[in-house]
Amino acid sequence: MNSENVLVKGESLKVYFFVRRGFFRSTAVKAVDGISFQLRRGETIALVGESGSGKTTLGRATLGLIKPVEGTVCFEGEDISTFMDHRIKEFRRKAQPIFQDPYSSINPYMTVFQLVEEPLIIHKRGDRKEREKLVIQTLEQVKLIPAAEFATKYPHTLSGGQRQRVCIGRAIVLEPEYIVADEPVSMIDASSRAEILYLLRELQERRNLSFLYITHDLASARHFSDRIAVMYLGTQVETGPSREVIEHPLHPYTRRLLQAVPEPDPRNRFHLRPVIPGDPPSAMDVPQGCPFQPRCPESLVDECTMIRPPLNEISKGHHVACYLQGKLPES
Amino acid sequence: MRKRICLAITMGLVLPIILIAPVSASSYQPPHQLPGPAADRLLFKAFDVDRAPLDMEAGKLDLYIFSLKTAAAEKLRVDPRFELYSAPATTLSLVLNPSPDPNGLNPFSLPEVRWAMQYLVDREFIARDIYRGMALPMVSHVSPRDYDFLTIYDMDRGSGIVYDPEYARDMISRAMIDAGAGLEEGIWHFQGEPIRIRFIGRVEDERREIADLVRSELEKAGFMVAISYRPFAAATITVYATDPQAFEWHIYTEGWGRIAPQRYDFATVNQMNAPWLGNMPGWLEAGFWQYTHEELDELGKKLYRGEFSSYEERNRIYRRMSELGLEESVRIWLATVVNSYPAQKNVQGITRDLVAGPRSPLTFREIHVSDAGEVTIGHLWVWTERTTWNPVGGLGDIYSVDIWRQLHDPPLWNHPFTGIPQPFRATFQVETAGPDDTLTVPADAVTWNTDTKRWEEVGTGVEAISRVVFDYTLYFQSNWHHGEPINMADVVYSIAQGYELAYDPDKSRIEMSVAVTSRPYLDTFRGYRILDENRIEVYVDFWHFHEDYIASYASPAGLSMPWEILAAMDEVVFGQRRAAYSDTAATRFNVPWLSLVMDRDCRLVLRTLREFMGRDVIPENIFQVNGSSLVSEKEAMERYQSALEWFERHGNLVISNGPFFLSAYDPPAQYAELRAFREENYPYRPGEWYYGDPPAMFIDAVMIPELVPGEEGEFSGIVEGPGRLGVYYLFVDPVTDEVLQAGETESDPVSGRFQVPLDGEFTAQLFPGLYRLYLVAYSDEVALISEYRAEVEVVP
Amino acid sequence: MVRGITMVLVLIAVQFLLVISLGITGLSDRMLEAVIGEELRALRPSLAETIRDPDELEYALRVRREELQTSYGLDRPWYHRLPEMVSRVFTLDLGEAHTLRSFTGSNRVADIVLERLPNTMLLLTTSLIFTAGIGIAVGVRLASKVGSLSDRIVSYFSAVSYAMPAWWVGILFILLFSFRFPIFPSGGMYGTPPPPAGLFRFLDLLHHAFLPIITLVLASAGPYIYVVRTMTLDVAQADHVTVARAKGLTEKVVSRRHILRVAAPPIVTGLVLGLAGSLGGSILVETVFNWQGMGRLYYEAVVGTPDEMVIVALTFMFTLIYVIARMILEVLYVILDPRVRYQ
Repeated sequence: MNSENVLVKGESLKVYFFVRRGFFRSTAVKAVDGISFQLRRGETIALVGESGSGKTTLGRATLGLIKPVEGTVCFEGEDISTFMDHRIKEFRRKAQPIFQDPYSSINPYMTVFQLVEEPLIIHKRGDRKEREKLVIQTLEQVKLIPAAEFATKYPHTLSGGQRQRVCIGRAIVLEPEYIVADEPVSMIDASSRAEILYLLRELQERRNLSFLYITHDLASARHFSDRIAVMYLGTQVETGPSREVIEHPLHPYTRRLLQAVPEPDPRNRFHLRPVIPGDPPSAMDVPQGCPFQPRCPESLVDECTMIRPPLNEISKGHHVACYLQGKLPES
Repeated sequence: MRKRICLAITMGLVLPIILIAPVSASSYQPPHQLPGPAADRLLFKAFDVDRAPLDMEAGKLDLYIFSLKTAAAEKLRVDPRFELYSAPATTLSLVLNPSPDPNGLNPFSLPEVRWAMQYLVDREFIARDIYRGMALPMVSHVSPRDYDFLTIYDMDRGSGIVYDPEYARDMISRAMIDAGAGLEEGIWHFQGEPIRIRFIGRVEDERREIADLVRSELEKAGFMVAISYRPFAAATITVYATDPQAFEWHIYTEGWGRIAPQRYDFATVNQMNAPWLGNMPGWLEAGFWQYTHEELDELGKKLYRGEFSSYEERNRIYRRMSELGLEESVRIWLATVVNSYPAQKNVQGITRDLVAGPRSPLTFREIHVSDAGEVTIGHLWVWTERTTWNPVGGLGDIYSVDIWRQLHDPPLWNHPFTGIPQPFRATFQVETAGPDDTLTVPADAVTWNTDTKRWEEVGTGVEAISRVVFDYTLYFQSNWHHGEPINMADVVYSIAQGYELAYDPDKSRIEMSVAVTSRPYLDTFRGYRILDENRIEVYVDFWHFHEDYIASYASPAGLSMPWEILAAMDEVVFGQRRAAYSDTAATRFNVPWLSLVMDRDCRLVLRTLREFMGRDVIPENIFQVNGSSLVSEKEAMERYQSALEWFERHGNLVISNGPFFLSAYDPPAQYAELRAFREENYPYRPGEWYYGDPPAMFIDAVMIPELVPGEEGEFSGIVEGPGRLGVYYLFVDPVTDEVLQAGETESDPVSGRFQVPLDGEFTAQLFPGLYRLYLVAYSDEVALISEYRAEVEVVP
Repeated sequence: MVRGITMVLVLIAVQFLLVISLGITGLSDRMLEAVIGEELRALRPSLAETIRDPDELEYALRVRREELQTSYGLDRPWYHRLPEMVSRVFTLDLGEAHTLRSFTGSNRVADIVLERLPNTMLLLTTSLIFTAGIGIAVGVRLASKVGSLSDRIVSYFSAVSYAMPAWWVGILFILLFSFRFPIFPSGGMYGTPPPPAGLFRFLDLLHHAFLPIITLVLASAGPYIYVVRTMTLDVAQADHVTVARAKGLTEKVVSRRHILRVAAPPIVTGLVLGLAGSLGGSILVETVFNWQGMGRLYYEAVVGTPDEMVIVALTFMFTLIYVIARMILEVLYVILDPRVRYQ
C-alpha cells in the first residue's frame, strides 16, 4: 500500500451515541465500533451494509461532522480534530458530502443558482461575474442543460434526479478532493440511477476524486467502486477489491447479501432466494462475540459467541472477520 | 301551686340580628348640621359578590348593598371588624303537581299526600343548617317577618305542622292504599308499575341541597324519585311551560323575591293560593290542565278589589284564604331567606328598614364614616346593559334604583319599622266617604282632556269616594339641583303627562306597555283642584280602612324631575320619535332606550331644549289651569338655560331634588359619584331621618303555674317594647294540635305587665300532661313580633 | 383565489352551525320564553299595587307579554328569525342588540362591538406579541440545545402551561397579586374614580391590563415555545443543514439562512393558529378580569338574557378575525416562502 497516496485514513474509530432511557439511565448506541480504513486519491471505496450498520455515521465522522468517541480521522496525514480555523475551512472545501434525500438536502427557499453559488461565497472565490461563470459551468458539467434556465429554478420544480445533480454540482463546485456519497441514488427512481452513477464516475475520472460510496446495494457497489467494505453493526466484516469480494465472498453475511441481490434472469422466477433469517440488529444491543452470530446459519458455538473475530487477510487485499474461514465450502 | 319557670324558646332569636341591643336615636351623632345629607360624597363602585368580602377586608368599601352568599355572610358575621345588616329577601316553596293522572296514579293528586308533605320537610334543618341560620322557617305563605303573620298566627303556629316523617309516611300509606296502590319491596306500585316522581331542583343556590333533602325523604316514603338539577331557564321551561298532566314535573323548588310587601296584603295571598291570578299549576295557559278552587277565586277577587268594609272583614277573608291554602297544600312553604349586607364597623347612620334593610333611602342620607366626608358603597354592578335612567319606562333594575333613590325625595315613604306610608316631603289630609258613600267633586275641579289638550272642568254631577289634600311646602321652599324653584307647575306637568301617556291614542300606541299599565289606575281619578300655591286636592275612587293607604294611592306626582326635562323627553319620544321610554318600544321602533346618564341621549334632550329656547316654546296649555297660567315665558327660558348649564357641568341630565346629586357616572368603570346638595333652604339636616335599629321588643318574666283540671289558673308576664303593646296567645293541645284557646290581651302601659286568666270551665277539659303555650308580643310602632314558647304542665 | 373562497365558506359554515345549534335545539326560543315568563311573574305584584281590577291586570300583563315576544322576535319561528339575522350580518349590517347596550346607550351592535373591540385588541395583540417574542426566542434556543436540562425543564413547563386553563390562571393571579400582595387591581379596566382622560388614564389602563395580559401570555406561550422548538428542530435535523455545516458555514449563518428561514412558515402558522385558540380563551379571561371587551360581551350575550343578534354578530366577528388572520398568514407566506410566488 502506498501510504503517500492516502487521502483519508480512519483508525479504530468508535462513535457512540448516548440515548436516554427513562429519567436517569442512558444507553450507548454503538454506531461505529472500531473501524479502520484507508482511502487513496482517486479511489472509491464502497461501504456496504444494512440500515443501522453505522455506515452513514462513519461517513459523517470522516467529514468531521460527528466526533468519534475513540480513534482518529486523518486527512492528508493530519488528524482532523486538531484542525483550527483556516485549516478547517480548507478541509471543508476539500471534503464534501452528497446525501441520500435530494429533497431534504437542499434548502427549499434557494434557487439552483444560489445553492451552487453558496460554497463559492463562503470560500470567497472570485467576484460575482466569475462566480456566475463557474456556476453555469458546473451546472453544465452535471448535465443540467440549459444551465441558464435551470439556474433560476427552485428545487421543488425539479425531479429527484435533477435535484441530486444540483447536490453534486454544489459538491464539486469548489473542486474538492474527497466526497462522501451517502446512498446518493437510493431515493432516485431506477431509470435515473444509472445516469447519476455514471456522472459520478465521470467526475471522478476527470478530477481524480476520492469517493466514499455508502450504499446497501451491492450491485451498484460493484460497478462503481474499487474496493468494497462490508459493515455489520458498526464493524467491518469483510473488505477487499470489489470484484474479488463479489466473486469470492468469504463472510457469511456477504454471501447472504449477494444471494439476496436479484438477477434479471427469467429462469430465476422459480428460484426462491434465501433471506437472512432473524431480525435486523439493533446497535443498542450488540452481542458479545461476533455481531453477526445470532443470525449466522453456520456459526460455531464457542468461538463465535465469545470474542469478536479480528480482520484477517485471507488473500491479497481481501480481509475477513470470521472464525469460519477455511471451513466454508467455496460458493 | 308551685311556681315553675319554664324555658323560653324565643322564636325571634332565629334572627339574632333583630334583637341586638337597640341603638337609640339619641346615641347617633350627626357629623354636622349643614342642610343636606351627612356625607359629602357617596361613591358607588361595582364589586363582584365573591370578592366583596376580600375587598371589604382590604378596606376598599364601607357598605355592600348586594347580598353576600351564605358562607361568606357567616364568616363576616363573627368577624368583629364588620357589621352585618339583613333584610328578608326570598321565600322558598315546593310546588306540587296536583293534576290527576288518567293513566296511572299521581301521588300529589291526593290531598292527603300533599298534606303529608307538610310533615315530611325539615324546615328547621333548612333554616339552621343549609342557610346557617340566615333563614326563617315558614309554614304558610306568610313569613314571621310579614305584616300579616299576626293575622294568621294561630293557623300557623297552631297548625301543628312539624317535621314528623313517620307520621307523614303513615298518612301517605293510608292515602295511597285507599287509592289502590301497593308497596312492593318498599316502592309504591300502581297497577304493576312503580310510581316515579320527577323532581326538578334548581341548581344555582342552596335550593339544590333542599332538593336533595326532600328527595331522600320521598324515597324513604317509598317513592322512586328521578331528580333533575336544572338552572333557571331549563327549570322554568319545564315547570311553567308544560302541561301539568304531561307530568314532566311533580315537584319543584320555587323561590320568590320580595319586591314591595304590603302591610295589608292582597296580592301575594292571591298569587300563592288562588288560581285566577295564573300562578297555580296550569298557569292559565290555554290547553293545559288547570288547578281550580272556586272559593279561593271568589275570596281572592274580593280581597283584591277591596270589596270589604272594615279591617275585620278584610282579615276574615284573608284568614279563610290562608286556611284553604294550607289545607290544599299545593305549595309547601319552606323558609324565608334573609339577605346579608356587610358594612365596616365604623359606618354610622344606617337604618335597619324591615323591608329594604340598609338599602333604604333613609340610610344613605344619614350614612357617614367617622370624620371622613366620603362613603364608598359597593354593589354588584353600577351599570348593566339594562340600566336605563328615565323616570317613565326605565329605572327598572336595582342597580339604577339604588342610586336614583338617593337623588330624589319622594312625597310619601313607608315607615321603616311599620311599613305604613307616612308623609315624607309632602304632607296630606284624607277625607273619605267610603266604603259605601261618595263625596261630590266640585265643579271647578279639572282633569286633563287628551283630545282637546287642555285642563277641563269636570262639571257637576261627578262623585268620588275619597279626597286627599297634598301640601308640598317642604318641596316648594327649596330648589331643584340646578337651582330652579320647585313649584306647582312641576306637579301639574307630571299629572298631565300621565294622562297623555295613558289616553292619547298615538302616544299609547307608541308606548303601549306604559299606557296599558297606567290606564286602569288613572281611570279611578276624578278630578284635581289647586287650592293655593302649595296645595293640591285630589279626588279618587279608592277606599282603604287605613287612611294612609288612600293617600299613598292618590299621590298624583312623584316630583322627581323638573317639568322642562319631562317636556323635552316627551318631545324627543313622541314628537321627534328619536328615543323611547320603554325597552319594548325602543326595540320596536329601533331607537335608543332613553337614558339620562347616556351622553348621546342627553344630547337629544339638550337639542330639544335649545329648540324650545330658540322658538320661545312652552308646553301648550299644560300650565293654564282654571284660567291662570302657572309658568311665564321668562321662567321657562330660565329653566331651559339652567338645564343646559347643568349638563355642561356634570355630563348628565339627572336633575332632581334629593339630598345628593349625580356628579359623575362612568359605565365602563362601573363608577358613580354622588355629591351632597347643600342648599340653604333644603328642608332636612343630618339626624332628622335617622331611625337606626328597630326598637327591641320581648316578653319576659313569664310565670306559668301548673294547672289542675277544673281549677282556675293564670299566666302572666312582662312585655317590653315601644308604643302600645299587646300580647296574643295560643293554647295548643299537643296531641291533636288543636288550638284550645286563643286570645289577646293588653299590657299595662306603665309596668308592662300582662295576665291571662284561665277559668275552671276551660281547664276542666284538660288532661294531665304538657300543653303548648305560644305568646306573641306586638306593637303598633313596629311591624315585628316577638314570640315566646312555653310548656304548661297539667297535673291531676 | 381558491383560498379566498375557502375562507368565505368557513364564515358561512360557522354561522350555519350557530343557527342550527341555537335554533333546532330550541335553546334560543326556550330561554327567551323563560326570561319573558320570569319578567311577567315579577311584574305582576308591582302592577297589583296600582291596578285593582283583576281583569285589567290580566289584560295589562297580556299586552306586556305580547310586546316582549315581538321585541325578542319570538313571534316568528327560529328558521325565519335566525337565518335573517345571519344574512344581515353577512351584509355587515350587525343589527341591534336586544338587551345589551354600549356605554353611550346605543343598542346598535356595531356601536357596542366597536366600543369593545379596542379593549379586546389591546389584550390580544399585546399578548400575541409577547407570546411570539418569547416563543420564538426561547424555542429556537432550545432547539439548539436538545436534550439539555433547560430543554427538558422548559418542555415540561410547556405541557403544564398547555393544560392550565387560562381563566384558572387568571383567578390564581388575582388571588396572588391582587389580594395577597396588593400590587395590581383585581379587575375592571380603570380604577375608581377613573383618572381624567390623558396620560394618567392610559397608564391606569395599562396597570389594569397587566394581569390579564400576563395570564394570556402564560397560557399560550408555553405550548408555543414547544411548537417553535419542534419546528426548528425538525428543520435543524434536515440534511441541507448538515451540508451547510459541511460547507464550512458559521453556525450563525447556518442558523439564520438554513434553519430559521426554512422554519419560518410553520412557526408563523403556529402563531396564527394559536391565535384562534386564544380568541376562545380570551372570552373567559375577560370575564374573570371584568375586562369590557368583545369576549366579555359574548359571555354576557350568551349567559345573560340570550341576545341572539349579538351572538350571531359576535360569532361572525370572531370568525372574521380568524379569517383575516389566516389571510395575513397567506400574505406572510408569500413573503417568507419564495416558492409560493411562482405558483
